[in-house]
Amino acid sequence: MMRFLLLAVALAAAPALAQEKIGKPVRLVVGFAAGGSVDLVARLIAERLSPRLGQPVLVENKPGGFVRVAIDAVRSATPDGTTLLLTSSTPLVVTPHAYAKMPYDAQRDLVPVARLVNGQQGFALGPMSGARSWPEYVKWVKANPDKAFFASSGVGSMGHLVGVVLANTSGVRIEHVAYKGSGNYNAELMGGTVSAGISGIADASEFHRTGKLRIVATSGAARSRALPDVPTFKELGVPMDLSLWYGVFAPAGTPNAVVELLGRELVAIVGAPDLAERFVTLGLDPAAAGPKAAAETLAADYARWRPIVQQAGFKLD
Amino acid sequence: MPGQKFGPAWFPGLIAVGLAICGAALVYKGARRTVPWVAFPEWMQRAQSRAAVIGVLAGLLFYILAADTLGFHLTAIAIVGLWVRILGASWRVTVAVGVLAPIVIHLAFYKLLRVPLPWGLLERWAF
Amino acid sequence: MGVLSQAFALVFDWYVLWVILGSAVFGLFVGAVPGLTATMATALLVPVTFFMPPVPAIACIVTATAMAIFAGDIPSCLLRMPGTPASAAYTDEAYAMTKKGQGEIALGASLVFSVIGGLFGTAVLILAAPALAEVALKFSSFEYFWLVLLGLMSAIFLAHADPLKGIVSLLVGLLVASVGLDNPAGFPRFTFGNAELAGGLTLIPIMIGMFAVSEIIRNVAAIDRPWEMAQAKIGNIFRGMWTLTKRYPAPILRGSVLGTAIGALPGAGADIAAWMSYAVSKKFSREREKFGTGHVEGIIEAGASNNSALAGAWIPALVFGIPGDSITAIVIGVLYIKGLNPGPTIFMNNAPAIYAIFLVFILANLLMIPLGIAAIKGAKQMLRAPRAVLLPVILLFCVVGSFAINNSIFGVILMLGFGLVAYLMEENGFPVAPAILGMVLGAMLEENFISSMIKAEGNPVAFVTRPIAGGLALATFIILLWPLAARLLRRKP
Repeated sequence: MMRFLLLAVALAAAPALAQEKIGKPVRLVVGFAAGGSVDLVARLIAERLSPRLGQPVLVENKPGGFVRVAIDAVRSATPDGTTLLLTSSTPLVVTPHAYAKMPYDAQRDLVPVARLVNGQQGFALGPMSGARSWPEYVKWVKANPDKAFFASSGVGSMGHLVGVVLANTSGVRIEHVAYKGSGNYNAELMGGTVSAGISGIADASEFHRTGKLRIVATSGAARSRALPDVPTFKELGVPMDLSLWYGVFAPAGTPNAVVELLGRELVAIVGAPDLAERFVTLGLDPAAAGPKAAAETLAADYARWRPIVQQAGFKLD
Repeated sequence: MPGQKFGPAWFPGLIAVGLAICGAALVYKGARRTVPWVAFPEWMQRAQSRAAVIGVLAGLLFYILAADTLGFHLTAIAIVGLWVRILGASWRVTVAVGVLAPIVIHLAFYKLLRVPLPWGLLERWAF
Repeated sequence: MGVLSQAFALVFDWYVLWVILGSAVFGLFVGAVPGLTATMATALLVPVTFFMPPVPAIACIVTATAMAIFAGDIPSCLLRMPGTPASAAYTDEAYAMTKKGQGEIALGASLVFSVIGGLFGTAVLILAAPALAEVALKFSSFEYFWLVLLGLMSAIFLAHADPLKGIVSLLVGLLVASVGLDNPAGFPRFTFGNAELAGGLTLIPIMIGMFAVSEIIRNVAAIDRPWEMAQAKIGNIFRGMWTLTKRYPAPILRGSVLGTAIGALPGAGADIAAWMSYAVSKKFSREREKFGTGHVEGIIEAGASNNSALAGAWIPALVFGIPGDSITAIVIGVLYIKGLNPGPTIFMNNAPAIYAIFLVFILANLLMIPLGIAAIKGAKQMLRAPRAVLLPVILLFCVVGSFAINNSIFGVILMLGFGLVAYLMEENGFPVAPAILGMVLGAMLEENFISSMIKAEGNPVAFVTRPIAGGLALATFIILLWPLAARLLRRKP
């Protein structure tokens, strides 16, 4: 009886399995220009996804509007698994709360395929303040209130938000200066015109390793595997648990079978030890999860971020 | 927004003021001369030129509207054919260029540079 | 010296040399097609270099970009359709020369002095990278603000006929640059809720439209008149180059130095270098009035400048891992993937690789000569085709090029729209070049102004108290007020 049932189930599933194959080249759309850390992750993934799907997977850079152009391109594409978006969670779960009007709705327009990695923000100090740790920096800020600025890679970025929350919860009055991408402010940080910078760990980790900058704290719940000797803000007495994750998304309406297939492959890719090592050096912690878990995380994050953003007074339009 | 003393309207506002001043200066300078308000370029009087320019612009507009549905290849053949013909070439040349140019572009851009030109109606035979 | 011989061995390997040759041809093609830029060439090469070992991967990108920046001058000179934004700075000048029958001088100068500029920049890179990088770090938003302002003022000098219309054109360019979400406030400006507009109006399709499409419209409107272009002679490209070198040593040197310096500044690359050098050339020329009529001096200086800027951009990139321009931003990513982490460690741990990169720079610049000549000859051959064939083909390339930037039909819409705008502008005496400059520099101006204001807490004095910023501010005011002061002084008996 059992065997008959199993056979029936298998036969029923067969047509679904047969439809899974993606018959055309796949576009993996990225919301930033080539060379940045998101683009790098996308290329590493694309390289390994290609042989698994038997189709070329091409990274397409569509920068602009803080991932808006990329999201728009993906959500209006044919939902057959040939157009995917690789992005951090920020524009999907944080940014919508900062704008009164949004041209997209992540939960309605996109379907999560997989979560890839978690990432934290690092609080990096340059030579301007002379401080080598968070307590020292706090002291410096109190003594130099008019020079206490922190740089972020853009208005509305995670680094910006982390800085605002940090100022509110710790009572340390640091003010925000926005730049276009971390490349633009790393020079000033090292040159001593701005005292601190907050952005993804990858952006500063190389400088931290060579001693030009010093990452003194991270924004997440637990220490990053890339920087095991850098404490989290929580450990330093500032309650904070702000991190983001990178995920792959497909346009809403993509058939379940395709989503499941892609999800399976992506999770397997991230699980490979050598790729995991690469991610760690980029400051990203592998945290692979399939479509269902990714969707739950997306919904949970969306709800979680609303009070944080509103309390921080983060309003951009 | 905490920390933003100069808002987003500041820069465009400054530009607008600049344009207003320059615009006024230009109007002042122009008002002193006796030149007609609107003058059409003289090629518009010549039928062949007029047709050619309209053809070029119409072709571009057609591409914008139709490329996604018809696909790059069909649209390109159509508009290149239109342009070559309307610029005075023979039918043989029109067909030759109209077919060859999209092929060259396909090889260079789609194959070599991996630019995703839309296949449109030819989707099924995509290579 | 073991390191040097190791570097030689790394470079003079059949595979690497083939890669260099292949990427040179690729770079030539990409640079020559209006719509494809050197930055795009680099981005397109990234997946290709994935599978290569470090040295050929870097060799690939270095060669392709050097070729591309020069190749943009070919259509710029022959057809008034710049292949890259850097060429747009002097396209009118070069085209004017072609119309006078001096196209070979323009192209030859562009080629030869590009090579010289590139070699100069490479020499500086090899000899002085760490020291220069430290200086480059001293540039903050205050310094950049004045630098960009100086750059924008070049537009006033570039308006050969009517400065007032030049300023209007510049302001239009700045206005176009302010569209979008990518501004210091993150506030969507002029986007009308449209996601494409939120990303801003991309420069390249607009540039293609304003130069290439408007020029095509002009040519098409004259279809019933005979075509002078076919008459332009391209003789021996090197004839007269030595004479030019002896006649204009200052522009050559000035262009190379300014280009390397601007390239070395993070975020400022070949495009800005070309524009500023062209303006500097006119400012300091003893034959100022010839600019705009087809005078080679500006082409010499700007041509040297944009190639030396390419090399200069590697200074902060190699020394600190901070991109000197949009190309090196991508290269740094490639370096990380290959395990060649830029920074002080790269000089220590990977000296042979670094010297190999230097060798590739030299090779690439030298290779420009034979390949450049071939490209120029090839372009000349293509120009012999009848207009009815040439113009539609070029237009199709423009359409695809505009599409290819962001893989969006919006690019083509921009191309058509701005093509019409530019046609109307030029028919009424408004120069197009300042508008392009405004678009290139608009965002930088606003960002650096706002950043500086925030850091200075609204106090404008901070803009001149830093030494370099103060110096640049002084230069700006002098340049601005000099003509006025000169006129006043002349009036005195």
